[in-house]
Amino acid sequence: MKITIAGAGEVGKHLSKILAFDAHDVTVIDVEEGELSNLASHLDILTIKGSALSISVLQEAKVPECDLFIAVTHFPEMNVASSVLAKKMGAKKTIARVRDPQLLEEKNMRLFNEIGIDSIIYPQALAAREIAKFVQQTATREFFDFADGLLSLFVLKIEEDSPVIGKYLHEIVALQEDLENFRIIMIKRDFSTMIPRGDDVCLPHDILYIISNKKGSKSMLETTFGRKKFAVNNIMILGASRTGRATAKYLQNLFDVKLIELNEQRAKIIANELTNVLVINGDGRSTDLLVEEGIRNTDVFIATTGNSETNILSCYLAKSVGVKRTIAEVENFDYIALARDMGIDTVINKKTIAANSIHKYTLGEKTAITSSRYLTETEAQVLEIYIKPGMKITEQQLKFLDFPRAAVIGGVVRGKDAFIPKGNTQIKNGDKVLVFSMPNAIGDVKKYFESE
Amino acid sequence: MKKLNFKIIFQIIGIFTIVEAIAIFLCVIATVYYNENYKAILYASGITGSIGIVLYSLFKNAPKDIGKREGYIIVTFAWLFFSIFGALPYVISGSMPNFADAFFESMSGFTTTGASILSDIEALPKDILLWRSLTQWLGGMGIIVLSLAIIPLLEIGGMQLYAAEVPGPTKDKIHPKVKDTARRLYLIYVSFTLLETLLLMIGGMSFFDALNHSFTTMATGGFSTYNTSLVHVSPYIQYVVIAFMFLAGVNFTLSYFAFHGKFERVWNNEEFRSYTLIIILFTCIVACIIGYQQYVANHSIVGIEKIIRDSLFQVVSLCTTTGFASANYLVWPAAAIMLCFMLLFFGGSAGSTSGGMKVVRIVILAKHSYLELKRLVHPSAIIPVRLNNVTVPEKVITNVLAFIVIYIIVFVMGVLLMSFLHYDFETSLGAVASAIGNVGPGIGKVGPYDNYGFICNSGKYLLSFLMLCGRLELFTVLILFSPAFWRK
Repeated sequence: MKITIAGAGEVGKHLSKILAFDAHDVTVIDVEEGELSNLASHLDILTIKGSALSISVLQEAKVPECDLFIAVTHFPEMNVASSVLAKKMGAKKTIARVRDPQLLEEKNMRLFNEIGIDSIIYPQALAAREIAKFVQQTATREFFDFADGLLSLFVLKIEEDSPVIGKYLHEIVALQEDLENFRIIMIKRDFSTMIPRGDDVCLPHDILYIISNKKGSKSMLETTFGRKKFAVNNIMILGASRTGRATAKYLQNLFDVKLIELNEQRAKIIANELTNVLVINGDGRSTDLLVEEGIRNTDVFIATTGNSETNILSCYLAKSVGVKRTIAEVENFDYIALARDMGIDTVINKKTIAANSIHKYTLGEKTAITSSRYLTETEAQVLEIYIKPGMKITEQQLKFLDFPRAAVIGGVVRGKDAFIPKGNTQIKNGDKVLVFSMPNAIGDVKKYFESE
Repeated sequence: MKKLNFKIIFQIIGIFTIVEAIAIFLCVIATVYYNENYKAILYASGITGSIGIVLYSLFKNAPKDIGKREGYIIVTFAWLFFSIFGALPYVISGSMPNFADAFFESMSGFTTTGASILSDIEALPKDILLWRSLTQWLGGMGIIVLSLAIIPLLEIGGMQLYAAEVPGPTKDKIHPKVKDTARRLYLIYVSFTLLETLLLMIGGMSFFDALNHSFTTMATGGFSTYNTSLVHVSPYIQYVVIAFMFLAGVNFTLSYFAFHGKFERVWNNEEFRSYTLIIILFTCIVACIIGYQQYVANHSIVGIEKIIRDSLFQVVSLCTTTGFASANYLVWPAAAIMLCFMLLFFGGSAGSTSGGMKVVRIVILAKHSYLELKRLVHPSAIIPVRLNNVTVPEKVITNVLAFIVIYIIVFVMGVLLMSFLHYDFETSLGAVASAIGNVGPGIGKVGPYDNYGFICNSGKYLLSFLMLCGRLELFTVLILFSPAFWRK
């Protein structure tokens, strides 16, 4: 697929990296030479220096022939304008990044479609939506729904006192009456992710990725892993960044929300804007202030300042005074694993979120892959694939297929039923399957899902 | 600094060696057709292939990250290995029993220099001749670029290898992916080669000779299958060869644009215009000098067409660093010989198959030097160097200046070493300039009608090294000799 990305900022760079690894033809446009030459020497992409609003630059980037135009410069107006231009020049699909949550509303989408923008993204709002979702599901660190909610992926960390420590995975699964309801798909241990077999053992601090259908999820979390939901009442948000504001807006009518902001001017604006949120003007890095504002009674602490270090450290502080759940927005990928190690429950990364929302547009029309996403903190990808006649995967039972070791079929949806496949499962025409794959196996995995 | 990933270096060199073995094996077609001895080609490709397979399979599981440093090592050593294995058919067939000779011939082939140690080329078996021309054809566009185009394994880190092998101060990609860029370049290369073969056959050449000459013209190599190069062929053939030498000296990216009908872009390219201008200018001056000499001697000029054709042929052949000869320029007046000697340094365009300094570097150098005068008059003025109406980044200018200085230093050192080996002044100058520039013929005892057979073994290895430096544009090879490269 031919993809043009305008803007080599944080999101632009991340997108060009994952898209180039996915073997797309990527061209990146930016006005700054420095970032471009850095990108060009590391990735197999074409870089063009110039403005995304210049016709000659767009022509040089072959925008008229491109399949997808993604405008993620620092300026929303520029993004909208260059997307419109790209569409009129012949780009098949255009995506623009904006900075106004209003624009995301469904009813406004028609306007954008009419002027030639197929989709808009607003990473901060998407991040806020994710945060709001995690706040409401408190038993796990993170969870993701697939296949319209029939299958869910739970991410949980094994604490020191967990009942499953030292057990073989096949033992853990055997505790369940019904084997078909859940499975541990991936284990992240230290800095590497592995796809486990039955004879692997659970260790403290492992992060488990567990796929489960509806029947499995409740019993699994409570009986097997000893996790219980707890009630959430008090939420404290640190930093009125765009993400922080949007999160407060989502949560203000459901919980008791306090928002701490250092800048007085900004704090006042937020106080006017969000009526149900208690806005506190002060430095969130001061323990006194946090204690005074009742951090000991806080159930969920969310750090969304513009500074990743502040977010991580303040979550660590909150954890140490007994906050049950902490969520930190971390922009730097290298810090994510570190943040996990420090006990922060959930890490939100805008770039991954933006990449996820754009990735579905890069799948093309021929492929059977209906959706796909990246998971924060592992490099693994999740693909949702609709099975069509003639695919190699349908030929035999799974155990006879030489399916790549670095990938696994996590779940199967057949009709209205969802189950976890075993060795003797045979994938049938019309199924929908969920495949977890490490990046190096994606190519091999795709071979199993090519229809004629 | 990061530890060098030696495993991937061996693995990739293994892959390249396998590619070379396949290329050697292809010459078996000539063996069969001309009913010759199989031994040389089969043994050579067998040995090369097995070493390649062993290297590849030993290091199959190497971690796949290729940094800049790995790129330089891979490219330099791959070229060294190409030349060593490329010498096998010569040695095994008995055409050049001395390994130094065979290595020189092979290096001269791959680097598209075209300097030969042979005095009787026509006595060689046809399959060996074909391999000799094929080394040039592969080396011209680059055997690594070829591998990038056909082997999917090399996608990671491909850009590092591509940048190290393709000549010129800046590398243009004509497609986001290196693989597709390499494929497009080869497509143009193959089309030109086939077209030239056809045109030469129309001029009465046999298919074998036409193909060989096309291989070596498009590569700006200059190996001929005739003892007398292109002296005794018809004017038509000489014109065809002139045209294709000229094309081979043009940046292939521009040829790609021309294929797509964007002629404006070709004409607006300053390097292309300077390249054309240099050729026209030198041809005119040389033709005038020869004409004048004839007029002084005979009080009349006969065969104006031949004078112009000879001048044009020699100028294009030397400027594009091809090295075919249609006349002996060493019998021309001193001024004309001097002009020819100057041409040994120029080379064709960046991104072409030619050697030398490349026209674009000379253009940048000239502009920069000229503007420096202007800067002296207006000390506070900001006067950027522009090329194709775009400001040339400071980094590129510094790189160009450093390149030219290093080029001259290497040249001087080379001449000095040659004189230590007891070669006369002119021969040393000519041989060294010709080797770094990947031209072939030089001045002195290594003129267009001579060969390098008389040079001693040390001299041959020295010249081979200079050819390699020239082909990989100095930095890639010389960087391996800098302590900073190896420091941990």
